[in-house]
Amino acid sequence: MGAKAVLKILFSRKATAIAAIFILVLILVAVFADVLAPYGLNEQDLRHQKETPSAAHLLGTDNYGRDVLSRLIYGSRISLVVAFVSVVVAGVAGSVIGLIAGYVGGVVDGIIMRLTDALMAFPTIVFALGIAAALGQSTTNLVIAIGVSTIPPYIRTIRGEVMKVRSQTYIKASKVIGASVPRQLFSHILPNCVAPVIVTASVGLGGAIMTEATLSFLGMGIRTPDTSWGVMVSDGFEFITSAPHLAIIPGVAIALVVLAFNFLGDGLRDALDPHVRGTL
Amino acid sequence: MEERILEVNHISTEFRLKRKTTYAVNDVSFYLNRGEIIGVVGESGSGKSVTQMSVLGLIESPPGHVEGESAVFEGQDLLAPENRRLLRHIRGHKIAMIFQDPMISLNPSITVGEQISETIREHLGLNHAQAKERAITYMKMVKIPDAEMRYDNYPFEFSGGMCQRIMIAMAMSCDPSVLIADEATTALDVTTQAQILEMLQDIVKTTNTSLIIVTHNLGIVARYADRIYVMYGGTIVETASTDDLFRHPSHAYTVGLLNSVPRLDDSKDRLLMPIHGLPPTLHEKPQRCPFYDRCTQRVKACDETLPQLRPVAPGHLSACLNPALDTSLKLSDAASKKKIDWDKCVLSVRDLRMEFPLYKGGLIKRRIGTVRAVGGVSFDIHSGETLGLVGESGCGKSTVANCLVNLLKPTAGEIYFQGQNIAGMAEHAFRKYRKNIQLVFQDPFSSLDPKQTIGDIVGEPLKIHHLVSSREAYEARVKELFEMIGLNPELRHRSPHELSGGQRQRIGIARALASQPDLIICDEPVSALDVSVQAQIMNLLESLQQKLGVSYLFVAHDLSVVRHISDRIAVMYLGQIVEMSDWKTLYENPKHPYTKTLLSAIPIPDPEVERQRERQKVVGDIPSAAHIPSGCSFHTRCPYATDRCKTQVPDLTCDQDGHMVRCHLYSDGADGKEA
Repeated sequence: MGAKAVLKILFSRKATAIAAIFILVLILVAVFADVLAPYGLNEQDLRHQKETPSAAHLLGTDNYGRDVLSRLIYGSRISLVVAFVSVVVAGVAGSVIGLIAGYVGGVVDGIIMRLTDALMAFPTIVFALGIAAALGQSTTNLVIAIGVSTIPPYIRTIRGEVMKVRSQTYIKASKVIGASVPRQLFSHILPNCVAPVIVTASVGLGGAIMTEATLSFLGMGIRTPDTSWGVMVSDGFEFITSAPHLAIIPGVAIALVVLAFNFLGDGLRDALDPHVRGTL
Repeated sequence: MEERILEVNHISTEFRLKRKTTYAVNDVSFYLNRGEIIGVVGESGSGKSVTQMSVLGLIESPPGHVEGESAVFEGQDLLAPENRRLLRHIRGHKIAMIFQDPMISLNPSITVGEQISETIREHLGLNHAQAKERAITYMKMVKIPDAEMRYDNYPFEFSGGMCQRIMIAMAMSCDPSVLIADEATTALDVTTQAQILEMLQDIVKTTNTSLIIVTHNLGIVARYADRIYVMYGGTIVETASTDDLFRHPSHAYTVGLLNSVPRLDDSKDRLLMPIHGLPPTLHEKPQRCPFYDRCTQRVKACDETLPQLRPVAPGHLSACLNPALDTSLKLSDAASKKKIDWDKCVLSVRDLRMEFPLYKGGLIKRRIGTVRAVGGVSFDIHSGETLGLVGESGCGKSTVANCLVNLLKPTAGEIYFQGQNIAGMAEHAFRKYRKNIQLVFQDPFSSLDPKQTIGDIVGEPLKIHHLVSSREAYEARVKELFEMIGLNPELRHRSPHELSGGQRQRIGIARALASQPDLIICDEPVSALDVSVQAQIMNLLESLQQKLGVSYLFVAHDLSVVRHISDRIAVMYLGQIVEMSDWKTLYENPKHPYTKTLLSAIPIPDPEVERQRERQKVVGDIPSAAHIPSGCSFHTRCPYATDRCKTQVPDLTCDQDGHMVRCHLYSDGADGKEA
């Protein structure tokens, strides 16, 4: 099926379409942050501290008199980059491991899956916190922490798919015509397994933004002067009584983006599932 | 005057989906007399099942939408809205239904006895003890051995045939006036199918129940039905008594169907005449004859109006507008142009054995037995020859096929191909033989990678074995292969799901042909296809053999299918070849009691021939391959079994004509008994 058909189904649902457009706009905002932000990231205006939204500062200012909207725009960069890179890390690593587990089977599968089970027994956030603490604080380490801690779902998803696809007759057919093992794996099995991984990744992006925000909130993530939405919530939390908008605005932004990725994931799942196609 | 028990007038059903509406049933009328057996025949998508379900109010709405003048059952209109509650009472009580797959129609977590009694308590208001007693009576009626004991068994403890008997017991338990069997025996083996239908016929005739047999199998209706409705494209195209219909078919579709199905009593030279093209999609309300596109005998009027059923003889209605319909069965005496080199063996199999260990326990596995799937099979396939390998499910025929293409490593035995023993070879050593032995799979839907285009599927063997030197040569070869199998090369960028079952099977054949193999193993290549399409594929395989000189091993469960294509036929039972000879001898003078049973079980689509046939009664179920009977493995079901058969395993003996049979009746020390 072509990408065109998938997009068509994707956009036939309102919630998914709105989510996709929202995410697209957000990505554009992050890319063109320098152009779009009305003020610099750390530009201070000490006469206007903790101000509520006004014409000059659409979303108000924080305790150093920095423009919240501008920080939100710059912050989206780190939030998105950290999320995308960590999901790619987790997705690729998880897919390769899952593919091996599912195709080789036997003892290898047993060992990989028990390790995965052990990993899954840790709450993601505790695991990521541990890694981040062990590696030290930097953006790269944050990506590694989030990436590694979110590998297990990918392993499980792709392993299950590989097991299912491996027993299909067309894999038998590829053996009969003499296809080598790499050919079977990469030309026949993998293309038939990616759909659920894409769905997991889409939902995972929301999760990664959330994890990054949590880690930053707990002081294990991004450090000032850089900022991310999680840092903004964390910083704003101090003034939750005197200037509640400082924590609420980035908090709402996080909630919206996570929601959008979840909607997109749901939409993708339906669009990629041939059983659903045609009935919508 | 016969009593009309059910009369359906002008019923139509459509499924309204967002994008498109499917007009599944269009203005169908039929009736049923008390005690009568009618057959509703049609291919998949002809609306035969939907019609029955519409009458019973079993169509989900939305998207389904049923309209009709009336459906009068014992004086009450089932379509009337005020009778909707009544319908719930009638269903399962007065009108009972048996479905195709007994394994999924029964609730796996409730004992079969309880499931039958539940129906009885619900409809007849009996108490538990009475219901149980009645359930056991009906289990006995459908010949379930030890019915009292098996009352408390769960569905998985029964075989497929036994489950279908339970379904019949359940359906009959409330003394229905009408029983609907919707493809009730399609999923079963031929011998089991014959047993079940035979029993149904007995029950129906003794209890004066009416029976509607919904099926795609013309042979079944010829053998069992009193009257037949032929459905096509959501309409009834012809109806007549069974004798009339087969003697004087009056609709182009009926004639086409009769010409396309292989028959057990065919002469070898009868050419199967496939119906070309595909059934209509029914996305528009039909304005002309639904068969128009595929009809070879259409006239101008067929395109202009939707033909109505008109009487052609008393009780015989047809919706065909061609006044000069050619109804003769096509016979062609085109001599086979096959070139068989009887001196050259393409493949020799010697004493092939395949056993699977049976384990029990989760963590610590304990071997508790062995499944003997194949127990010493030997045969040769000559150059240009087709060997038919026939048997029921579980006889090991597919296991043999899988061993030949090295998908399974046999436990013992030799397979000689190009002078080399290839049995159980390591994959890297076997790879060079891959292009010479190919396999065509049974299921055309799961055997093609859904993510590839059909052009890529056909061309993949060329790439793997480096059979073409350039991009142009590749394209040219793919194009040539498409033309060989009768598909437009323009279609090569399509995905498999855009094709019909028959077209997909053609792709499967093209993929097998791509590397120019010497031997193609066809593992039930037509059993998943509609009858009119089966003939297309059979003819294609035959013409390819004549053109390319390739040899086939044709694996099938249906003796009437292999008859047409095979030069020699081997019959398998429980992992062993019980009889092997040239095709003619096997059909005209079968020796082994199992071959006779198998032949008797297959109905011929001709009621006159059916009545004159001498049929060997089928007894018992196929034993499990984990518990193969001692001595001759067929002795548990054989009417001629002696004490010797129970203890001594018969050898495969060969007479002077090369007719091989594994039976004590024909071995030297026979007890003087003749079959």
